Amino acid sequence: MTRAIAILIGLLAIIGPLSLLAGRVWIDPWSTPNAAVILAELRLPRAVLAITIGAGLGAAGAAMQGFLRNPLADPGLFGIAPGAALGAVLCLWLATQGLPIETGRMVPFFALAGAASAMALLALIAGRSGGIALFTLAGLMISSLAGALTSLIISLAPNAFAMGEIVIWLMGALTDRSWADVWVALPLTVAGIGFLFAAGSSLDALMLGEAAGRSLGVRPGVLTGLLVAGVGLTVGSGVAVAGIIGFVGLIVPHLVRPLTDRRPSQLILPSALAGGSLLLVADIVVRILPLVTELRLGIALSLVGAPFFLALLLHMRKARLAV
Amino acid sequence: MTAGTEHSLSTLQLGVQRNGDFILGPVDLSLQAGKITAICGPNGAGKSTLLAALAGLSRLETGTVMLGEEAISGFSPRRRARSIGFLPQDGEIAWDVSVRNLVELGRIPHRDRRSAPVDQALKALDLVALSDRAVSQLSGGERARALLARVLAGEPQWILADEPLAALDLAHQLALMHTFQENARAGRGIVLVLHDLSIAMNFADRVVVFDQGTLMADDTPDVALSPSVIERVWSVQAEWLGKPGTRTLAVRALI
Repeated sequence: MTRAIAILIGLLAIIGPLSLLAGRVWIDPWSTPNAAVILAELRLPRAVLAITIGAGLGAAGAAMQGFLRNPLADPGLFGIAPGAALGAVLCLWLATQGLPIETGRMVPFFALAGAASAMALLALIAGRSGGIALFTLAGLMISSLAGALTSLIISLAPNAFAMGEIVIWLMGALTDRSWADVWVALPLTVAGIGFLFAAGSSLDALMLGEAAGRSLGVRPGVLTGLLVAGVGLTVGSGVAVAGIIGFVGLIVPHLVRPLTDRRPSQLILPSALAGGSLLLVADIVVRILPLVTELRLGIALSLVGAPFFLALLLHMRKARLAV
Repeated sequence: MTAGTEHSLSTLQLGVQRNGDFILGPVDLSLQAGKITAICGPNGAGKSTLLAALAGLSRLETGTVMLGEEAISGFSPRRRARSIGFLPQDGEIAWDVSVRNLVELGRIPHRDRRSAPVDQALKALDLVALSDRAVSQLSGGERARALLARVLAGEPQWILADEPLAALDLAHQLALMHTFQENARAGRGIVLVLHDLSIAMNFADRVVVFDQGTLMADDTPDVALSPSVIERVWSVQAEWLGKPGTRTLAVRALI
């Protein structure tokens, strides 16, 4: 684990400063006018946010794969991201109904409330038994329910402009984010990663199956609680400030696993670091791509992520590996 | 090793129900440490159900499981895990960790990764040379040994294993049974679900026979696995050949 962490911290130390300078306009700290303001108020919060959200998604993905004992698991399976999106969309829609809601400030809180509702529902349904099948099914049902409600709200938008605004928001981006967003996402994500890290040794024990895991002292209810809280806080706060960003939670643990000893507990922190790096790189790419409007980060990651997922499936079929 | 208060593992009116019917018991049993106890019976007899209940992993409809003088349901999961090691039948290892990392999982209830018990377990099962190998590179026999080493590394007073010999060849079966015998001599309680009646006859100190959730026999192997019991429970005519210690079962006919 230490080797993986050292490599990834080194990587972040290189990408971090680069991301501050990169963009549609490359900044030369000594000659660009207002460089200090741009760096401090625009690019630094955006970079911190990219690292925070990517770290949360990476850690959540690593923990989910450990819990479900399946390298194809994704934090999206929990239905927490769709729940958060539903909250955000509800907020945007209420604003179009003439309610005095300042969306820039309130969207994250509505999204967090949505994530919390999804978490509570999930814990209520699957909490005590902690069985994997029940958990996955409950997550899928919450996902589709939240997705249907989100579509319903979008269809109720009063005009095409409002509808467009909501749809664009859902597509995940880090454009024009401020320190206020950082202060929402950062503490919640750190707390969430803490919960996931605390679940580490239980996830290790679970690699021997549910019965052997329990015989090693795993409390299914406690483990479920830690995971729901951890994934809810990381993914929920990520969606709250940046919309839906897919595939990071799926890809990152895969890339990192060969650098570790493959125990789930040893994968969580490296996945957090790698997730932060990946999202930061992706954000640099969408910023410097010469397009008329900036490519949405969520779209960019799915464009890269889906083919990666397919390649992974092909590889697994060829190697007939479960790991 | 844990204190002498955990010398017995017993059940009082233990019963497990499914859909309102008892699939096991109610049954009274008292197992002693320092011995190998075999649980035998035909398919669906409730052997695995009993083993999981003894390991404290089942929700019981009636009765209790006692470790020494205390009800196991009152133990914290961690305390129970330090006293009772459980080896399930499926032998799942979800991630391709090294043998050493696998064996270290046995230390989880102790919240340490002390190397002495892990090294000892690796040595006891002849895995030292393989300790850095990935589990996906192991043969079936090596894998079974590594999974048992994981249980030994936790230094439990009791080892409960569900068909630990399934899918092993003769030499590996013998080697694993010798390991169980050594551990019984060292004072541990060994409880094995065994399908192979010859193994039970030759290696167990005591055999309990179940049929459809009911205790049919509970005695030394000679008595509990006598031809008449085998006829009643397994519905075959059979007799034991050879000398004590290396007996084989000759099955003559279905009844």
